[in-house]
Amino acid sequence: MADFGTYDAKGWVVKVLVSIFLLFLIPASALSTRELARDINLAGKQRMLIQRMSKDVFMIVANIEKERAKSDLRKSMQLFERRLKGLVDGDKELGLAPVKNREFRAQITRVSKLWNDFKLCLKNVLNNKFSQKDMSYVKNNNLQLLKEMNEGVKILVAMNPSTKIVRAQAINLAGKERMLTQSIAKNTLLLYLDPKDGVARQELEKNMALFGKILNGLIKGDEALGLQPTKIPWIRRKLQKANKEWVEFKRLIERGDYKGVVDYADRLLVTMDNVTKLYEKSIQKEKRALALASLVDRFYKEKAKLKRIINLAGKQRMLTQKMTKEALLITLHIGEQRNEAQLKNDIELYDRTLRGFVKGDEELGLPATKNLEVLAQIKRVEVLWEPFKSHAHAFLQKKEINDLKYLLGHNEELLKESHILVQKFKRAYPSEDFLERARKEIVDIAGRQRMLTQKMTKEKLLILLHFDNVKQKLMQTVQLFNNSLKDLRFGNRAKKIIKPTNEKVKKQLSKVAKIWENLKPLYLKDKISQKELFIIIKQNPVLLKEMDKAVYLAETVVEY
Amino acid sequence: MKKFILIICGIVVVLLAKDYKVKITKDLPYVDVEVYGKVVRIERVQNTEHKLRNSYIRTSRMTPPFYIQPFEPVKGVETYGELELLDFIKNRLNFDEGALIDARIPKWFKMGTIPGAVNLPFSLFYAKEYKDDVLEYLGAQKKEGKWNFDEALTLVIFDNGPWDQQAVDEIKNLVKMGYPKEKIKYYRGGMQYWQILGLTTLKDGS
Amino acid sequence: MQLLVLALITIYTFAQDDLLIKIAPDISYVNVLHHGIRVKVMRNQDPEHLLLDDYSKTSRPCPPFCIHPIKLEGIKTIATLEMVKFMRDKVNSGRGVIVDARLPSWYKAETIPSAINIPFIVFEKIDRKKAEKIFKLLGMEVKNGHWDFSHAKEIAVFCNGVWCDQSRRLIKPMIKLGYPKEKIFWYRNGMQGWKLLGLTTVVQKVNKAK
Repeated sequence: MADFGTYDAKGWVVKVLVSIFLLFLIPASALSTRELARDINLAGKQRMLIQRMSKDVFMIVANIEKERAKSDLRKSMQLFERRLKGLVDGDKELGLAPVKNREFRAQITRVSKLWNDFKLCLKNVLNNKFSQKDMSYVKNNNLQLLKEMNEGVKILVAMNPSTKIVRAQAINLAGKERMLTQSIAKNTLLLYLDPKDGVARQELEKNMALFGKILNGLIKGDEALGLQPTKIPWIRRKLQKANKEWVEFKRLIERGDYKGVVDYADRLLVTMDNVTKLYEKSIQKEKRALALASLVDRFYKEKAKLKRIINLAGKQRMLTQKMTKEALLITLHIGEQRNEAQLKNDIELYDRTLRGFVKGDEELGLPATKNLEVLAQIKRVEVLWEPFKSHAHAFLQKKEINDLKYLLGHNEELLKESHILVQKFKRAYPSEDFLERARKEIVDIAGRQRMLTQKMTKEKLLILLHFDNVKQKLMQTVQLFNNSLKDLRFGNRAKKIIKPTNEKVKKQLSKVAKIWENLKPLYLKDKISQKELFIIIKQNPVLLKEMDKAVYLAETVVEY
Repeated sequence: MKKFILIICGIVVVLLAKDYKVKITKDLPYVDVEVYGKVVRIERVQNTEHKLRNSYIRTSRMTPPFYIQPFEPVKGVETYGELELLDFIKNRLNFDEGALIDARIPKWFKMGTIPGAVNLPFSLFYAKEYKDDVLEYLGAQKKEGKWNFDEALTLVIFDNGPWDQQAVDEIKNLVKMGYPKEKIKYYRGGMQYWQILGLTTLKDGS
Repeated sequence: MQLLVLALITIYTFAQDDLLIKIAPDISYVNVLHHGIRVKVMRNQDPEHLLLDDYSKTSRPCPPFCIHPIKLEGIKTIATLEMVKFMRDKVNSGRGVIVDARLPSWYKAETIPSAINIPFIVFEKIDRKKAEKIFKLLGMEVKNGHWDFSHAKEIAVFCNGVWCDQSRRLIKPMIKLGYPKEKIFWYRNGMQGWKLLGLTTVVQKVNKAK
């Protein structure tokens, strides 16, 4: 290896070689569904053209509408060749997208080789320089050319396997009918040229039987063919038209009206082509609808994840107050065992959630945050949380007043920073949804109510423990909760809060109001009995739960 | 005897055939639309005493966001009425020459939509990763980094009604992305007018 | 005096912001005159208000009450927001008139504030003399025996709703008689659309029968 200085030359070369190798492995199909469907349709039409061109040759030989057949043959030859090229290189005018698939291109090469020989005979026919050899060549080789072209179509179909939609089979068979119309005409002409042509007669009979069977299956269904009866009115009408034409076609064949047969074949061809198109459109539509539905589904699943983050961040605020409240209850020797267990859980939950924001937590449904501003705020929360956590743990162990004092002194700061974290999250994942924004005010207020339920209990307990300067705070908290609840229930014009019309929301808010009715006087009373204290402690979690339900409803009901 | 039976049968058939008292226009009693390979008949409720009794008779939704939309909220985007929409469904939608778009959030769509509509909530257009996919499904093609709309479908977009913003929001975003205005139509009446005219609604499950 | 004006302006500006349920971000209500009486056209402010009357009916027999196309006779179709703006900008300044095309009994029972009544039957079999009278009321001038519409008012015509034919039956003959198309607007949603948005209507007070 040449010395490239400090570069790892060998590794570099290997990397390049690997990438080139990988390039070849990547399936070379950048076609959209629509482009591929069109290519399949036109490739399918090539099969029909092969039979048509053969038919034209025999018309010329039999001197039936010679000039028209010549002109048609010329056109078909041009179109056939142009399409072959277009399937490989693309052709904007024809609406062909280039197919890069190597298997397909190899198959087209095979078809082209056969075509080139076939073409020579056709040219001779056009120049009136044809011999019996040319005619035999066309007669004996048109089916081979047809077969190879069909293989090409199969490859395209395999590139885009249709879903379990039954109509895929209908498209395939309806498309085949097109080819059969020309095949029938071709064989009829062969019989005209040589009524003793046993091969042509056999082929004709086979063609006609198959055409009839498929047509019947398309209309009424045919299990063996894998067809269901067509229920779509406009397709059925077209098929009934085809049926009428088929009956007439058969009559012409039986009468031996060769000219009539050739003309009518074209007519039936057009009808079957239209039928094929209709089936295709029907499938296209369904595919698109399914694709869109799955896209929308994915979008909303992702959105739900983001909502969860903000939800949990909101809950953290409430937890700061709840943990403090629990510590106070323990101090007052109220439900000690229960509250100790609760406090332990809440500390664990707050901690786990905080870590989950940074590293992700599958069980909690949290993805890891990459937003720098959010991460910076989480750091700030952590700075307050770590000592809070250790004092809380210490308190659980030793029940010392110093630890309690720490919690009391720092819980509101922790609340504030937890609140800022919620704001940062909201800014990192903004909802452009104006519907959500319109309800934001209501949802925020309802969310705050949850935190207030814990705060007011904490403050009440502080008063009972004879802490100073808490009375006014408690009054404010109670007042705020009370007024916000009223606003939520009845609306507030000045604050632009609309009253709910949704029955579920109204019911839930009145449920909350009923519980509050009983609790409010107790919170405000100066001296409360033991019994009344227990009522507060018992009902407080109920109030929280019902308020939480109200928040959920406010967020999710379709019509507020 | 045979003739007599035939006549009776004929009369029975005629009597059983649906007699539309409430048509769409005097020459149009119903429109059939293909939905996932099945046929749904769009017709009007035939009970002449029938009144609409759901949230669509609410008159006063909060503003913002439910202000009254102008007749033509986006200049150059044509406003469709019911007849224009039904003609679109009959002659274009059924033949995959267009798409009928319900721009509302999925909850609304599932509660009831216009037969033949696909749900494309307006919120998707605010997500970078999704809006490109959406354009492709609508027939646009990305060529050399730019969007080409030659093959894009004609869209008729609707939402809840003249006081709803979801459709207008989506239309504005489509236009911003380059979607040709001639290929977008706005059915302003939305679900509210569709239902107040008693037209067939498709609920989730189909 | 200046202080009073300032106070009034302040009250006016704030007053426009006062309503919870507005018409447009910059329009809370519009004042118009209906037969000399001031009417405040605004939306019903009760979020629970429902439209329960006959305008919530869905299936009037068709024919004759069929759904109409969105375009009419080559004139401009307008919706509710445009109607309100028409009131504010054209009716109040005298440059425009709102026309209720229904029969007088319907008009008297309930109509859009500031609307005048030109029942469609009036124009169905009208003669030039009578038409001239009505057109003159709408601002047409007769100059040298010719009808000059250059100062004719803009008219916004409505009837009951998208299934009502009466606007068309009024507008068509008017156009035939020469009323300029650019000056005619069709409020397609009509009374039904107006009420579905909770907008103010003028209702005749029923006198208690003795």
